[in-house]
Amino acid sequence: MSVSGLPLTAGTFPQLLSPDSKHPISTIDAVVVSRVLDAGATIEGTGTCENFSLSPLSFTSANGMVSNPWLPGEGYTVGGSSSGCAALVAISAIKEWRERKGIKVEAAEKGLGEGADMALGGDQGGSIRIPAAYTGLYGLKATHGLIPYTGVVSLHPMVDHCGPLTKNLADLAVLLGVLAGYDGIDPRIGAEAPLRGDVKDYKELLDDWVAVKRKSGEWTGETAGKGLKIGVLKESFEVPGLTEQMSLVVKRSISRFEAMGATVKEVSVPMHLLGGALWTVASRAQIPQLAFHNMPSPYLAHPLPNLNPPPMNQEFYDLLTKHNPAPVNVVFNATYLSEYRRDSASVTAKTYMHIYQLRAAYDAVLEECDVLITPVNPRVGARHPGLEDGVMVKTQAALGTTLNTCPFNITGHPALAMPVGWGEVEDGGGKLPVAMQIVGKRWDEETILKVAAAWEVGGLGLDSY
Amino acid sequence: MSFELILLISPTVPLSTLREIAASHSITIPPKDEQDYHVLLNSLDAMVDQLKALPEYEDPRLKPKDDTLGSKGVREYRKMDPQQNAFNAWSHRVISSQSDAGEAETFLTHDSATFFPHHHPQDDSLANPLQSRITCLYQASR
Repeated sequence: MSVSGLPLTAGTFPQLLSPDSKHPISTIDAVVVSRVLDAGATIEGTGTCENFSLSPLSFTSANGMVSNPWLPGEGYTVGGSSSGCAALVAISAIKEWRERKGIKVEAAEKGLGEGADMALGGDQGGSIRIPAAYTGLYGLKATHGLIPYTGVVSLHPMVDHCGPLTKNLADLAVLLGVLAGYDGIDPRIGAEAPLRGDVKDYKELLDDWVAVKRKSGEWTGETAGKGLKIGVLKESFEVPGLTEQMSLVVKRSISRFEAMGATVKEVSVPMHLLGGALWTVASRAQIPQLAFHNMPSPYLAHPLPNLNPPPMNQEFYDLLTKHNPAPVNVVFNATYLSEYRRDSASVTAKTYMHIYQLRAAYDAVLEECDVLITPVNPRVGARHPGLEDGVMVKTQAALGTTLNTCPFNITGHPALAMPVGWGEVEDGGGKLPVAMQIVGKRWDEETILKVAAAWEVGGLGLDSY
Repeated sequence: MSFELILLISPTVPLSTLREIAASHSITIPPKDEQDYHVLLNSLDAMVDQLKALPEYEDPRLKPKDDTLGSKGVREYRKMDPQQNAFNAWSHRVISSQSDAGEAETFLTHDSATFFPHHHPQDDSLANPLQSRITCLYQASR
C-alpha cells in the first residue's frame, strides 16, 4: 500500500522490485491512506506484508516471519498476507483484553512492544480475514468495488480488495465509512458503488438499529437475534482440511444465534466447493504481468509509480523457492497456460461465466437469509515451517486455508471475519483465536455489522477463554 | 492465495514441459524441487480440465426474450443476393418473421427506425428518444 515517503515492499526482496535493488519510495498516498488521514488518523507506519501477498500464513515475508502475539516467543502464525498489520492491532487488542480480565503482566507488556489501534490490509483470497481470524480481530473484505484500491499493489483487479482490520466492531463500522466510496480513478468501482457523498454512515446505522432493539427490550442474550435470518453454508463445513475442532467451535457459535431468537437454517451451494478452482483459473494467467511486472490493468487505472520490477531470473527462483514458493508456482503456471495450453483463454473465459453462476447461487440463498455463516481458518494456528523445508511442505502448510474466503473475492460478496472463541494449538502449547465468517448480500455491509453486534450481546468471542 | 488439493494423478504435463518453462525464464530448477513444482503444475492442469468439463453457463440476463424470437423460437438468417445488396451493406438478414413485427410498426410511428432485434418494442427507454428519427429494418423488408 502506497504511503508517500515510505518504502513500497510488497513483502518481497528489493532486487525483485527494482533494478537498483532498493525498495522504491512511494511518491503517492493510496486513496485509503489519504482518507484515513483526512478523517484525523495518524499513520504510524507500515506492517510487514507476506511475499508478493501470495500467502495465507505468515512465514514468507522478506521482512521475516511474523509471529502471533497471543503466544509470544513460540513462532505461531498470524495468517497472511496482511500479517504485520494483524499482529500490530492484536498487540493493542491483547493489552485491552488483559485489562478487561484484570491480568497485569509487566514484563509481557514490554515484550509486546507498540501496537496499532487499526490497520488497512489487502485481501485477494482472504488476506484480511485470515489474519483477523488467527489473531482474534475484525477483518472485513467489503463488496468488491466499495473501497478504492488505487495506490495499492494489485494481484488481479477482479480479486483485489483493501479494507479495515480492527480490534472491535465499532471501530470497523467507523473505518468502513471513512474508506468507502468512488474515488474517480479505480476501474474496479462500478455503477452500483456509492459516490463519496452517498456512502452510508455505517456506525450510525448500526447504533440506531441497536437503539431501537434496546428500547423494545430486544437487546438481551435471549432476544438480540430476533428478526435475523441466519444461513449456515453447508459446504463451508465440508472443505478439505477443516478440523473437527474448528467445525465444533464455529457450530457452537452459530447455536448462539438460535438461543438469541434468530432463525437459523442450513443452506446449500454445492458450487462453493469449486470456488478455489474458479479463483485460481480466473486469475492465474495474468498475475505475473499484473503483480510481478506492474503491468497496468486493461482498464484505465492509476498504476504505481516508480515500480519497475526486473525480469524473472534465477535469483527470483532461488529467493522465492526458499521463502515463498507460491509466486514461482504462479509464474510456471501462467507460462504453461499461455504457451502450452491452447485452450487456456477459452477456459478462462468460461471460468468467468461460472463466477457469475457462483454469484447467482449465493444470491439465491441470500434471498432467504440475511447472511451466510462459514468458518474462516480451517485449523487453529500452527507454527511456521522452517526456511529449509521443501516446496511441498511450505505449500501444504497453506493448503486449504482460503477455501472459505476466496470464493467471495471472485463473486464480490462482502465478508467479515470476527472472533468467536478459542482453539487448542496442536502441540498443546496453548490457545489461539478462532473466527467465523459472516457473508452478506453485495452492498449490504450494514446487515453484516448488525448480525455481528447481535451475536456479541452474548459476550465477546475472546472473552470465552 | 488459494491452493488447490494436490491430486494423485497421472501427469498430464510432462517434466520436460516444466523444464522448458523454467528455461524460458532463465531458471534452472534444482532436482530436489522438481517433483514438487511438477505436482503443482499438474494440479493446475487438472483444475483447468475440471472447469472445462462443467456444463456451460450463460447469465440469464443476456438470454434473448422469447417473444422476440418469432414463432420458431429462434432467429434465422440468410445472406442477401448481390443484386439485393448493391452497396454490400447487408451482412445477415433475419428471415424468421418477428411475432411483434406488427407491434413494431404501430409504436414506431414515423418511417425511420433502426430496430435492434433484441430490444422489445415496448422498451420505452429505446422508443422515446429515438422515435422520430430511426430507420426500421422490418419496414424495409415489406
